[in-house]
Amino acid sequence: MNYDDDNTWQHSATERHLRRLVVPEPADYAAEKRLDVIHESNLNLLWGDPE
Amino acid sequence: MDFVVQSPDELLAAVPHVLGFKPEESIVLVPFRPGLPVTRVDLPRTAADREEVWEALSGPYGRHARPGARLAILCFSEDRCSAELASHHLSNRLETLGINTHIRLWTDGDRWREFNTGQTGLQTRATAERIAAATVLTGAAQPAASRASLAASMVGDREPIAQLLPLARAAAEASTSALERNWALDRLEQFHANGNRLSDVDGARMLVALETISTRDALWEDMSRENRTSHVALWNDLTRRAPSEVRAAPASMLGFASWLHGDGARAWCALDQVPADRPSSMAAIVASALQNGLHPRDWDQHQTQMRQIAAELDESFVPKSPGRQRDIPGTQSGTDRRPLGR
Repeated sequence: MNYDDDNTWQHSATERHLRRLVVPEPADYAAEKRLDVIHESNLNLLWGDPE
Repeated sequence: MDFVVQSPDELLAAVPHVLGFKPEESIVLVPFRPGLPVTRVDLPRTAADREEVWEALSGPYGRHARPGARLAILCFSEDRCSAELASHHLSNRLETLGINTHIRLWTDGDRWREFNTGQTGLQTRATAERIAAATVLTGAAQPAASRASLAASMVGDREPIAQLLPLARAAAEASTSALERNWALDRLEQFHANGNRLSDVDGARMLVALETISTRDALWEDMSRENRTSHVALWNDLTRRAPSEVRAAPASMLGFASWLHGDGARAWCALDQVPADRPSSMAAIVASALQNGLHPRDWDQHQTQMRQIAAELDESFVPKSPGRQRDIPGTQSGTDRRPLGR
């Protein structure tokens, strides 16, 4: 699904949220282009405690 | 116990323990301080691919960057030329966000090279074993051999539950959705308490119960940052054991719990277990969170808001197969058991 368009309408807050919710099926994301994002990893394991 | 890397060799050996798997033909961005996420992406080999990678990364890093942020770019590849080009490109782009790249390190598994300084060295098995031993003491799980093996770990023996599904469906038909929902919540609480794997009979009953959207929502709403580890364990096990006709829900739940756990790689692998012919809008929401690099703490803030929006969402916007109910949380009544026996 491509929700990009070339109109200049301003989207409401609700519409912006909807656009974030309305996404392609996971299968549509090419596996080789996926980001593996790891939040809150134990960086102390690498760099030690910053304190 | 904290472990502090002292050399490029040690850093390269420690990264799989942070990711949960050994990266191959990948670029990994590792920040020096909390705030920015760790990310992995396949190594881009053309100018167009490098730009695409940057477009994907610029969202999460632009959103989370703070002044003075620093990170290391690590390239795991046999293609040193592509690694140098890609790390240089990324470094330049990150600088536009105020993020400084202090290390650009490449390894082919045997040798390493720091592109900024030209320093080189060997990647040794002894270091890898020493790091593995040290991480065991931290209580961290040992990494999977590769991203593919992480995905493969979500596929188990699905036959035992497949054989029990007809009985479970018949029992559910004779019950009520309220009774089944209460049973599922009690069984979940029991799992939180003792961590014991569900029997095949309980597994089949849980998977059938999940087909009722309000029941799945009740289990979904139980997820929090406090019990996310327990949820990952439960849904990982049921995703492994669920035949395709009932796998979309546990795989989506595993995807969500993994994201809540901060583990984007495991979340993607879970979404891949959603059968292609059984699209799930819960899975689509998780995919959106992953692709946008949303931080799990955003869940607390957005939970209510997303559900309000989902409730207003026109059904035609939600990816689904014909004849299926939408499965956005919190939008179903308590009497919405799907027809059984499909």
